[in-house]
Order: sequence, then C-alpha cells, then structure tokens
Amino acid sequence: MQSSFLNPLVITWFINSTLHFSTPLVLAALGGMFSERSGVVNIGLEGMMLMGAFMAVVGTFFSGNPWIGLLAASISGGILGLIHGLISVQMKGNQIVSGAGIILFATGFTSFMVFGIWGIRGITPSVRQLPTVTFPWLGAISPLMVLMFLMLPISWYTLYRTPFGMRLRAAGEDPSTLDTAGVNVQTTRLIGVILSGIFAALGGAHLSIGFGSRFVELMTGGRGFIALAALIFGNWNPLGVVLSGLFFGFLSTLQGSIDVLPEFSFLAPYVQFIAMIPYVSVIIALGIIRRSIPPKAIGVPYIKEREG
Amino acid sequence: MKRNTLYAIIALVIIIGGVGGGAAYWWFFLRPPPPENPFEVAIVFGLGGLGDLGFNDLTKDAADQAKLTHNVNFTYSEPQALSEFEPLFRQYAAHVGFSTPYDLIIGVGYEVFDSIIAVAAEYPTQKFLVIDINWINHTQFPNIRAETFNEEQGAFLVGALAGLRTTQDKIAFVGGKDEPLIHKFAAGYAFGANYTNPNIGVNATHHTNYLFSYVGAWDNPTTGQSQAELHYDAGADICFAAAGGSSIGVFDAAIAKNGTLAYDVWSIGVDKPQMYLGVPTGGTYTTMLTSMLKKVDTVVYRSILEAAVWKNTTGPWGTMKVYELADGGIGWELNNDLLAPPYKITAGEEFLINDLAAAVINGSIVIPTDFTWL
Repeated sequence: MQSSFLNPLVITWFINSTLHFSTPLVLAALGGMFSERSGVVNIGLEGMMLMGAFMAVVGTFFSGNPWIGLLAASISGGILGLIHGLISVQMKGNQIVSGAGIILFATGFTSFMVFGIWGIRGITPSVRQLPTVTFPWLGAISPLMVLMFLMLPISWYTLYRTPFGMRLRAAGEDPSTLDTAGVNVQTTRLIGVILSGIFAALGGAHLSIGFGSRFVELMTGGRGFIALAALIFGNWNPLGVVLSGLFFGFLSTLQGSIDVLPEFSFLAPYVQFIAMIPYVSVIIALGIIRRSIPPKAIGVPYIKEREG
Repeated sequence: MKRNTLYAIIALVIIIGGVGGGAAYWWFFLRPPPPENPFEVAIVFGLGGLGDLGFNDLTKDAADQAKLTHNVNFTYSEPQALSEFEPLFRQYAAHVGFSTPYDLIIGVGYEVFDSIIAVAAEYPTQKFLVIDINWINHTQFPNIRAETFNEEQGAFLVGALAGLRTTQDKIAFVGGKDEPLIHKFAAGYAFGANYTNPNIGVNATHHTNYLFSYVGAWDNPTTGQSQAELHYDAGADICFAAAGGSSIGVFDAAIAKNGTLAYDVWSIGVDKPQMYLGVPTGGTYTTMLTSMLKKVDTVVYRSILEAAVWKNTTGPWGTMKVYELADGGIGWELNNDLLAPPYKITAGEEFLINDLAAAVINGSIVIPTDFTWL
C-alpha cells in the first residue's frame, strides 16, 4: 500500500507515540497507587488530570515559562487531592461520591475558566511547550517522560523500603494496627491522597504542555479512568502499574496507526475492540483470574475506637 | 385518635386547602400573562459545543452578526448528550415562559435529526433550520429547512493546491470520524491532489501515496497530533485536517515537525479561515498552507434574516438548500501575509486554482464524494 512499518522514522514514531500516550497514564496511575495503597479510593484522577492540564497552560501563559506551568499544575492537583482527602479521610465521607464530585468540579471549572481568562470558548491560545531532547529511535523526549521512568524505582523504594511507605501500606491494609503503633492514620492517608493529586496533575500537564501546546476542553478524554484500569491491572504495585500503563499506551498508538500502516491493516475491523481492551482487562484481572488483590481496608474510612 | 391530633389534622387541611385554593385562584384568574418572547432565534448547538472551530462557532458568528446588523436577539443551549436534544427543541418550540413563539429554531449538525423531526411534527407552524442533514423529507416536514454543502468541491481545491506544493509526492488526511460526511472531504482532497499531481496515484480502486486516518472523536487533539506526526514521519508533507476540535492537534503537529525532518511540512485547515492557527508561538509565518472554507456563517445569517427580519420568504421555507462553489458557500483561504516569502501563493497558482473552481462550477470536472477504500 503506502508506507511501511520498517522505516526508521515510523518505528521512531511508534516508540515515541507509545511513550507519549503512556506518560499521563503511568503518572496518574502511580499517583493513584499512593492513594489507594493508603486505603482511599481515588476515582477523581480524571478530574485531577484535567485540572493539571488546564493549570499548566494558565501558569505557562502568564509566566511564559513552562516550568512555572508545571509547578502550577502540581499545586492545583495537590489542592484537589487535599479536598478529596479532607472529605473522605478527615470527614469520613463517601470516597466514590467525593471522587465523582472532583471530576464534575474540574470539568466545569476548566471549561468555565477558559472563557473567563481568554474570552474564547473551548480552546486556549498555544503556549510554550516543555523543552524536549531528541534521541535516535526514541524521538523527542520531554522531561515528564523521563520522570515517568524515574518514578518506577523512586515509588518502589518509597513504598517498600522507607518508614513512610510502610505506614502508607499499613494504613491501607490494617489501619487499627498502625494506629496502635502510634502513627496518625488520617495524616498518612491525607499525604497519600495529596501525592496522587500531584502526580495525576503532572500527567495532565503532559497532555497540555508536554505533547501539545494548549488546553482543549475535556482534553483528557477518559484517560483518568484508563489510568485507574492500569492501576488495577497492575495489581497496585509500581512495576505492574508502569508496565500496564505502557501497554495501554501501546494500544492507543496501535489504534492510531491501523489505518496508515499496511502491516496492521488486518486489524482494521477491530479498532473499537482494541479501544475496549483496557476496561476488559480490568474485569478479567479482578473477576476471573483473581490475581489482582486490592488493599484490604480500601474504601473504608478509619474510625478510631473510643474508650468506653 | 386523640382529640389534639384530630384538631391538628383539621387545622392542617384548612391551611393546605386555603393556601392551595388561593394559589389555584391566583393561577387561573390573577396570574399575569407570561412576558413576550424577547428572543427571535433559539439555537441548539451540536455535541462538539462552542469552541469547536467549526460549524458551532460559525453558527454563533452568524447569530452575533444578525444581532449586530438587525438587532436580532438570540438564546442558545449547548447539550452535552444526545438525549438532551429533544427536550431542548420541545422547550423552545413550546416557548416555555413566553407568550410568543420564536421566529426560528436552529439545530446544528446531523446528530439533531431524530429529535428535530419529532418536535417539528408536533409544532407544524414553528420554523426550524438544520445544517448538514440532506435526507429530510421536506414535503412531510415543510417547516424544516436544511442547509447542506458540497464539501468535496472545496476539498478538491485545497487538494489541488496540495498536489502542486507537495515535494514528497505524498499527502495525508486526518478525519474526525469514519463516516460519509468526512469521506466527502477525504475523497475531494485526494481527487484534487491527484488532478494536479498524478504521482499521488489515487483512483476509484486504489491509492498509492495518500495516507489517511480517523481520530474517532471531535475533541481529542492528542490523538489527532499523534496521527498527523505518523503521517509526516511516514513521508507525507501536507496533512489536511477535517476533525473539528481534534484538528488543532494536526496543526500543532505541523508546527512541531517543521525543522525536524528533511522536508518542510504543512497542514491545511477546515471550515473557518484557520491559517493563523499554524503560526508557532512567537513566530510570524504560518505552517498552514490554506484552509477549506465552508461558510456556514453566511448561509445561516441569510436564513436568520429571512425568518426573523424580512419574514417573507420568496419560496417555501422547508427546502434543502445546497451551497457550493458557484454560490460562494464553499471556498478556500488565500492569505499571503501569513506565508513566508518563498512559500507565498504565486499568481500562477492562484490562477490555476480559480480556473479549476470555474471548471467545477461549469460541470466539466465531476468530483467523487467517496471512494470504496476510504
């Protein structure tokens, strides 16, 4: 037909695009891991990503410096995480409802503020992107893609080799034991949720100033939910999460190249099916294989026993 | 039952009955009539919403223009889901809260079809206007006017320009969704490029140097950008985007890829004059060669005036109007101010494109609206 996969430029595109699509998924999923390992369900990842994508553009637009945009994104994500934490940990509210509220709030806020700040609907002017370095075979690599890979050892070490990680996992598995040991369960959980907000927002920022150069209304397009799927499919541990994030990113790339590359044209009738795989894989992992085991105390607010 | 309880119930019945009776009396006899309708036009936008850089924005432009020139007041809604269309149309058709009806109700995009015919059947005197629907039975629905476009003609012209300008003899297309309306763009574009540059190698059964893909959504610029980057890396140097809000990703891809490949890459915009969107941040010159224009704003403006200002239509209201090159409803963007000096559209190129346009108008060039392989 026209262009072959066996063209160095196309292979480079394939690898680069896989990394681009995986970065937001992996960052958000690793963030979600910190929250869920501490026992707080965070379905608000989608909203936190959207807010991060938007605030990254706002910060960059007003300062002219994409690094400031990244800072603004992580702060906004942290604040949303704090709100989710205050509602679901401090006030012991329903974690699903609070997460859904975060999504609705972020959706409305970003759409409204695009008009509020720039006076145009739906789409912002383009801003400066994060600087990239081009490597052979990998294409243009942006700092957040590097962060994605650095996060694998960092989060593994934090989770399994530091006192903080130990407490985080204990808060998710058996909070009363942690409490008996004299550690404040609520503070531990709050930190976990705030971390998840920060990383989800960085993932969103990758969409707006890492890959593209502007914010478009609802630009995350459900990637927060795919990140949740990656988190569950990755069995709540860092290596699994990174691998499943990369796999789902690979699927997105494959989907985009089916029409163009003759090697993949035999997949053309299955485009929608490929888009479905992330969600189906979660059901299989959770329900059928039962290899995916959530933290024991996930979703349950911790209520301290009172004397008497 | 205790006596006090009985008294309480009696008191309650008297109070509720009195208040309810009073309210009913007010409702039936004293209620002021609803105010006159301050709006002449109501618009229900398509699912892409405002900011799609396409027909929603253009319809809003038309209404803004009518407000400016003839003080036509309008109100609008932006539904988020297919299920919201019918209640909105019914609410406007029944002019809820106002004593007088709207002069015109506009539904944007083919997604409104089912709901607008349902409501139009219930309110036969209410005028409706739809865009991009060419399969309405206008004898059955004489109150719906449809405005459609021969998009393939404009796509043919920008394709012809792409055929002249491509240095790699390979061009690309990114569509919003894999469906007949978008095929008109894709087919016209490929046919046009092949017309001026046979190396593109497109005919009814096959395509050699023509890459195309569909984003699958109107609001996913990230995927649009990724697909356009693939086309550029795979050797195409001009990419035409007909993908609503996802198009912006294609324009960004052209900006990002310029200078990283051995050849210059270009994008082509759609619907509105979009060449300004191809200017990199802080740059002067655009990476967008041209845009295909679909002048929804002009034709909607004309219909708004007809329904809300002149109020005397020359023909019947419910017809399908097809706009094309001949009546100026379709065109191409020529903006040499934004193109860097070596890339300006020359007088010769402009002449050739206008010549092709004339040939399309007089019927000597017939453009396909679809290919089997699309």
